[in-house]
Amino acid sequence: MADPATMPLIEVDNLGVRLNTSRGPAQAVRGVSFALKRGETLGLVGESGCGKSVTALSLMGLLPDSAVITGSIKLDGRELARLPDADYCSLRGNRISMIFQEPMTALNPMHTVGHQVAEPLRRHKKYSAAHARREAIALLDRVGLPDPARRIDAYPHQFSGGQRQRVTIAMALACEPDLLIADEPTTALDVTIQGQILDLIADLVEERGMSMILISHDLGVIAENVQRMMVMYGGTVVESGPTDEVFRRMGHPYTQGLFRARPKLGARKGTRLTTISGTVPELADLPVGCAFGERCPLVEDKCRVALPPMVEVGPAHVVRCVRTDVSMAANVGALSA
Amino acid sequence: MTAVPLLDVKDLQQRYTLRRESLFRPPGQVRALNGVSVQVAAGKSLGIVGESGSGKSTFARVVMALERPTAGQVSLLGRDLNRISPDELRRARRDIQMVFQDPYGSLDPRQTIARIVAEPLTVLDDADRTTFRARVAAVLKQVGLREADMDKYPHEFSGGQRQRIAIARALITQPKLIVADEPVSALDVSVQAQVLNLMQDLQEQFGLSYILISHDLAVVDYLCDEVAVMYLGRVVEQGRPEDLFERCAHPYTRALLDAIPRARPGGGRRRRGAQAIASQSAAAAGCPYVARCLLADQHCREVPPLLRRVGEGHLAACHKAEAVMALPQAAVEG
Repeated sequence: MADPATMPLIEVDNLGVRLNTSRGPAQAVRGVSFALKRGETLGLVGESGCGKSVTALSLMGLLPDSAVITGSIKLDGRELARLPDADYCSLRGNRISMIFQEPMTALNPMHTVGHQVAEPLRRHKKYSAAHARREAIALLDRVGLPDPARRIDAYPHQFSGGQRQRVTIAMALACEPDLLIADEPTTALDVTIQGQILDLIADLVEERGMSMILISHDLGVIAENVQRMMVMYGGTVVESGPTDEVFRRMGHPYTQGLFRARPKLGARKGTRLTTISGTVPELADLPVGCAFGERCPLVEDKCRVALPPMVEVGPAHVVRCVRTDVSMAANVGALSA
Repeated sequence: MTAVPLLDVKDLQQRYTLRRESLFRPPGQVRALNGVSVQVAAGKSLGIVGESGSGKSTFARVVMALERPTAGQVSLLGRDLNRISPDELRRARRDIQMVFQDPYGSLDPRQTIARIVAEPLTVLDDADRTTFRARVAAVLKQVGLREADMDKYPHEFSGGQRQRIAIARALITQPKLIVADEPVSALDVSVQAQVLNLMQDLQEQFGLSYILISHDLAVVDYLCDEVAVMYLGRVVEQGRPEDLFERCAHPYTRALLDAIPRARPGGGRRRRGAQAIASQSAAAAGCPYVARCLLADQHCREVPPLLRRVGEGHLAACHKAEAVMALPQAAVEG
């Protein structure tokens, strides 16, 4: 228990988040639990409104004031849920950092990139302006920004999308955080640049022994970049396990549907994509039972009664479905092996 | 194939002049399109792929006659869109419609669905309200929406439904060609598949042609008969999807294919080479891709490669196309 090497860095237990939306209170996250050791990587995958970003924001303490958090979030054993904002300020950007999807909105257009990269160093580490500037140049160099000593005084609009994302990564890394949360870090970028940014993040995670939570809607990005993954739908985790296990044997009808719906290279014209009928449910009026029930091809009466329990289907591989006997027989993941 | 293709684009060039930076030097220019020639036959689809800045969207705007090209011509059914009178052009627009990327930005939030969908008709036809409403109802049904949706507003619909509305608006004039600029990239994966299936059904039903602009090679593979890969305003490779994706002949196409993350177990991370984006404003002597190319030699730096035949209906602008084709090809998801 006391051994820091085996103790989880971050431990989330039965996290629930209720948001006040224009359509009334919405349970954006329900019963999310996971633990992450130092150096481990976890992927969160799902579509818009599944609760993956809200989970990330609750770890960062960035939820709106009106949000109600239940359950617990522990960083090195210290409770973070319902922590006063003043205390959170000393963690954010210091021990937990986040990279956002859209680098142009994550950067302040009125400040130079050097100022923004140096800000966490000045604030958390109390570096002098000159020291922080030297450190910022080193960081920008590390994230692969060309000619950092000269470009440190440039403004965000003078950089390309990929370069801006490199700047936000440098900001996130400035204080050598223990946990890096990357929320769709490459969705706004071209596919060739996406590869470079993911390579850079992976190198830095390895080099600094950080833990990482990578959020993406792209199963391919998840497959290649994290050790473990959780698939979210309607605010709950519907499938979770080691990435290879999940891709080898997908258990939840939603994971399978998501996998089948992707257009694949080599699927020639004239073939049809297997769709998931209907649309993503509104969080404000989720069904009582399984959130995926309304769209599920295998739905039964018992699915609609209560939220299905997690069923273990492989080593550390769990699925929130009562019909895994049928869904697993379809052998969906193995198709691509 | 008929003698006159539906769309014939010849040597299209588009330049934008930048703001003057010095009194003594001429202002800089962005060469957005550098001699693009493609044809689309009736009922067939052309996919355009490339990264941001490759000229894909400029190409769409020029084909839609929203911009006048610096040089070159765009002919729809044999008529040059830039030479006909404004009145004729207005009528020709019936045959070409566009679907945009962002279904949240492309529908006016203060108009009803009926008004949004009927708008292309009200410009072209002089019919009464009942006729318009009947046409709107019919076209909404074709894209899988209900007649009752007509009097709702865009905010009452999900992203996928909004994209269906945008497609309905494009269909209402019974066009021959729909230019779709990243039509599914703003949608969730499960909804994306529904919209792609719909686009395929509509093509079969009405014999439509598409120009599908996308950064997603798999989407283009799924919907198109022919694909053009663009880089810095040029077509660098063109051919049937199976040729491009199984026997690609240009190092850029190969880099795009290699960059796609594959959803499969045990994949792990594959290393990708460092790639820098070249500038659009400089007119370099040799091959525009030379700075990023792993195979480039002195010849590539001096002589720009021309688009040439490397196989049946397969064109590539690379001196070393044969060498690229001989390389082991990237694994394709099955």
